[in-house]
Amino acid sequence: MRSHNLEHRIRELQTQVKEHGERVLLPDDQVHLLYQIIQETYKSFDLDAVLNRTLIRISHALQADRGSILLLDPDSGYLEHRAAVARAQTLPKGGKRTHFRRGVGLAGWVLEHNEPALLPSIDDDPRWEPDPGSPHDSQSALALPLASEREVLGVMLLFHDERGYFHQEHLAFAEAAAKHIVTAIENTEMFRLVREQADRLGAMLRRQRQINAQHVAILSAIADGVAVSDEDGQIAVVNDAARRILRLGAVELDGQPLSTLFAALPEAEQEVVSEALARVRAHPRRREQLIPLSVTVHHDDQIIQAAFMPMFDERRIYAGIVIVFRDITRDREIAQAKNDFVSVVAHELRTPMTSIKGYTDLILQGALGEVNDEQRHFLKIVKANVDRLSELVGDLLDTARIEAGRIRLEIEPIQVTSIVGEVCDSLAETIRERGLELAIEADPDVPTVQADRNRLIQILMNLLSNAYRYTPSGGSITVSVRLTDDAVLVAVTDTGIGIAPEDQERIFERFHRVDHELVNRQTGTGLGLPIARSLVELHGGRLWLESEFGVGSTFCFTLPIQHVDVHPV
Amino acid sequence: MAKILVAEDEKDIRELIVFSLTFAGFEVLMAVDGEDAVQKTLENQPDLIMMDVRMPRMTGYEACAKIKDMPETKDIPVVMLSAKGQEAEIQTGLNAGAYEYILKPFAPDELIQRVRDILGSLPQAE
Repeated sequence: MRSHNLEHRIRELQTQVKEHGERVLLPDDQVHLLYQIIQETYKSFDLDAVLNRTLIRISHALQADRGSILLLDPDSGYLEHRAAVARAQTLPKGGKRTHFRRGVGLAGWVLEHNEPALLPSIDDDPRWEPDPGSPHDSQSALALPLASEREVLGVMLLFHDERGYFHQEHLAFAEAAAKHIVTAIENTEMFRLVREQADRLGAMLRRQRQINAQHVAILSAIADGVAVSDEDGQIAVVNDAARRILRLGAVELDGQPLSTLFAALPEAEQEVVSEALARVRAHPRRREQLIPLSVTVHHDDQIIQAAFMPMFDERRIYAGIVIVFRDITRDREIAQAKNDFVSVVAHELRTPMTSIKGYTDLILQGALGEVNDEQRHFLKIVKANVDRLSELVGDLLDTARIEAGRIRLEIEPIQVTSIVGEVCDSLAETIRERGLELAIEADPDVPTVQADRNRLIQILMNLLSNAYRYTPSGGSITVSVRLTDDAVLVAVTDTGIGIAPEDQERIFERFHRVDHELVNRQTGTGLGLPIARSLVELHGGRLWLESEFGVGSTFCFTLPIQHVDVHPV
Repeated sequence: MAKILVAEDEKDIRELIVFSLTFAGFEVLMAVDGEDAVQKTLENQPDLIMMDVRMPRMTGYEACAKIKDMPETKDIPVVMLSAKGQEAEIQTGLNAGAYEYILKPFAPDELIQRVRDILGSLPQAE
């Protein structure tokens, strides 16, 4: 666009020059010379070359013995010798700094006054000051400003060895030529600006291309599928992995609606995805509230996980969605194989355990005759350990089933308070034996919830057995049942050893047991809490911990009053 | 005295159950696999059958279904014994006509209590 403007401007200037030349009414041969000079000024954007060639033509036309063009360096304020005719030494490219500046020397006078000077005898003129850089024997001089409409850009000087050589006609011609030199200088400057701008844009473009190339390389190198939509829900980027995972082949996707990505999926699965997309789009469009949303879809034997994340620009305005696809078929197969293995092992353990437990019980019951105290003590140890093993096997099986998504809740209306009462009753003796107080605090009008009775008992058993195991004698355990806005909240509070902040999330990891003297003395599988948490989540609730190290712990869980059907088998 | 058939292929466990039930005063018969269980049921008409799920030749489910299919044995209660405890399996057992499902490992006195409860809850035979 700028180069177009430049051409336009050049044409305009050419017209002006023609008109100007015609007005000046120079002799025919001078008009011809002037045209030659004008042509010279348009031949190139190399300013030094233009100035030199033009100066040669002018000197020749006026038959001057020497000539110079000095341009002002606006930064330093000094005039620079940019072109010369008959100078002893050739000027370097880009010119040579002189000591002349505003008010110094003849050129400095012209620069300051912006008017020409005709010096019949330079030696008699106080404005004259020789340039030590280029000495000569000239007697007369003609000096005139190279001025644009706004400012003086430089000075042209012409010299002759004869005194009184230059006249008004010479000056008129030189002034006409000077105007074209000014135009050439301005054009060159404009060209320089345009070229700089073009260089900058070019560099930006190259950088942009480089970044794009990096992005393309990253996207094609990663195994996960990636798709990005713009704020209107149109596909902006899709990598090859996404095409492969979603079985899209070479279908044109750019600019298509996001739903095009899922066209190859079975219809029911397409609905799952559209629902997820709708949820991401409907999400409050604030970065702080972002939760990545992930869904799993099935395509024949293939299992695909799709994670959705809205994007925001620097002004925090919604800018589209990023979707990452992962083929988790193999992961699932491995998990399945592991869970099957755990199930088989656990099952195989139960048969010998049945024998050990059964025969031990029989002897303890005295079915084979009197058992003395020491025998009884040892048999009880055997029995306690079989029970412990049995608990571990049960927990392992539950864990495997939870992981495989094979737990089916038998949902029925449940009075949480009465279940809490039952569980507390069944544990009351054990808790009393350990020297602990047990209390129940229940809100009076807690409504029924939709829950699996046996699983709720399992959750409460887990939490209560932790509470009594990790509370030293003399402490207390309180189970409270409260009604919140949309859920029943059960809290099991103990005055036990408490859990340090760094362990508070880790205790929900499988097999994690806190390193503490009292913990080490107790039996436990390290599976109870993760199972309890999963079971609560299967009910659509949450399980969490509030604890202060050395003071006690409160395990809370919620059961929603409106049961959400979260986990179809 | 009630007559109980114990069908269990694992000798140790079979003997444990037989001993416990005998000790509790029941008359006890033994079967070592599913086919044997069906055969002994037909021959002896027990009052209750304790049936292991995993047995060679015929599984406990199959044997149970077969017993429930024959008019002369269909009213005899069958209690499934299994180390598997998954809901789906319990459901399979109940679908096959089982009366109850007892999970291994069990304590002998619990087992006997369950047997007594079941026998007590049944309409008295002639």
